[in-house]
Amino acid sequence: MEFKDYYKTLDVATDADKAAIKKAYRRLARKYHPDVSTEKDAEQNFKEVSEAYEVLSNDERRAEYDQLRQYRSQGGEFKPPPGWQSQGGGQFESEDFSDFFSSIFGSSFSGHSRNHRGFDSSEDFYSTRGRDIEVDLPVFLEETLNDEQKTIQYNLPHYDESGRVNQVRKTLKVKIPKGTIGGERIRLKGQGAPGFGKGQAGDLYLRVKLVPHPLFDAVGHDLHLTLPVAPWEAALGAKVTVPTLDSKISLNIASGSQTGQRLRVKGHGLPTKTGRGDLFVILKVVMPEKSDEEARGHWEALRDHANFNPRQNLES
Amino acid sequence: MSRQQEVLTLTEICIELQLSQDACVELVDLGVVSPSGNAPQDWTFDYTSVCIIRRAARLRRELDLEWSAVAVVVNLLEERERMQAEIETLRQRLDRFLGQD
Repeated sequence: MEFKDYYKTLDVATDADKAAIKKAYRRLARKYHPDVSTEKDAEQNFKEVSEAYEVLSNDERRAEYDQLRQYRSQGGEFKPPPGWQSQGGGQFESEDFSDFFSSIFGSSFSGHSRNHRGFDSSEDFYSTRGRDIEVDLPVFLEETLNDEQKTIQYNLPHYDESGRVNQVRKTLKVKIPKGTIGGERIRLKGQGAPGFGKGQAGDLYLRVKLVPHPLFDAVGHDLHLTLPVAPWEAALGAKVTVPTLDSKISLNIASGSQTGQRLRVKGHGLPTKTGRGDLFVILKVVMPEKSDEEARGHWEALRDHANFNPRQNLES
Repeated sequence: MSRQQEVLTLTEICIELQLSQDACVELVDLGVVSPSGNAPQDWTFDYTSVCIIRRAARLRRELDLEWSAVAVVVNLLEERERMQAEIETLRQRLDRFLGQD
């Protein structure tokens, strides 16, 4: 097992006082916190910084660590000395900490951990509710039209007999309620991390992420569709067939339509509590890829007849 | 598996997130989340609010921030995420518009 140099992780001297250690932690925590950081490997760096702070900010643990640090200097791969037993463990949640940390301080945690300070619990001291887990749930637009069942897989921490933490893959069937939209959370009670002692398991929160659709963009409960039309359809008007998410409809294009024009088709969006959102069809006039001599002649006749300058606004 | 109830009360949130009631009330006062109901005993929080409160508590703990600073950070993060989602949607629509169909 590799020895972790917590002083190096926090970039502090080995004789740094508590204030210096706290200052270093705060600086690095703000740099690497996964909620705010855009740094590469932020989450892993934050875990290492948190682990280092957990040890160096606690007098007992720091003294034990310093002792082992000297032992380590005897060379070779690090192993705790035979019969090693920490006096400073038991006040942390170790799930995210390394094997190195667990080998020194054990892996038990309590309801009065750093992560739960301020919580006035009347529960058993050694029983703690498992933490909630939040995972993304990719959902296809079509799956929001009806109540759908989906199988998901996610990682759960599992404590073995010696208290070590492993990640296990869990499979679960989940109901996607009709009308679910992006960003919405689905909660599955008791499907989060297992509790410690007599503590209950945490909950699983699924964060709905709509999978991009090849044709439709979802905006709330509305759908947007870009509809290509031929120049003569835009000029003369036309009746065209338009796909919706679950059917096809016939749509009238008015004569003189423009690119970018939006047509609203009521009730063909995503389901809501009371009905369905709308479908917005955005027109896009496209030119034919090929044209023959005869077609070219028609375009030339149109040019000579139309007396149209599309760049009038650009001319001063 | 069926979906559970869709909201949590203040008491339930405090138990589930292991937070004090004062902390939750402070987050509501600061506008980080807006529960339904008038008095704290009537408040209910949707699941998105539960996740926002969890994130707020995590930021306070791990970055050693005051609640008022947490409120600013959470609001900015929410705004950033909303704008990122909007940019993604607009980019997708622009690609459809400029692409060859």
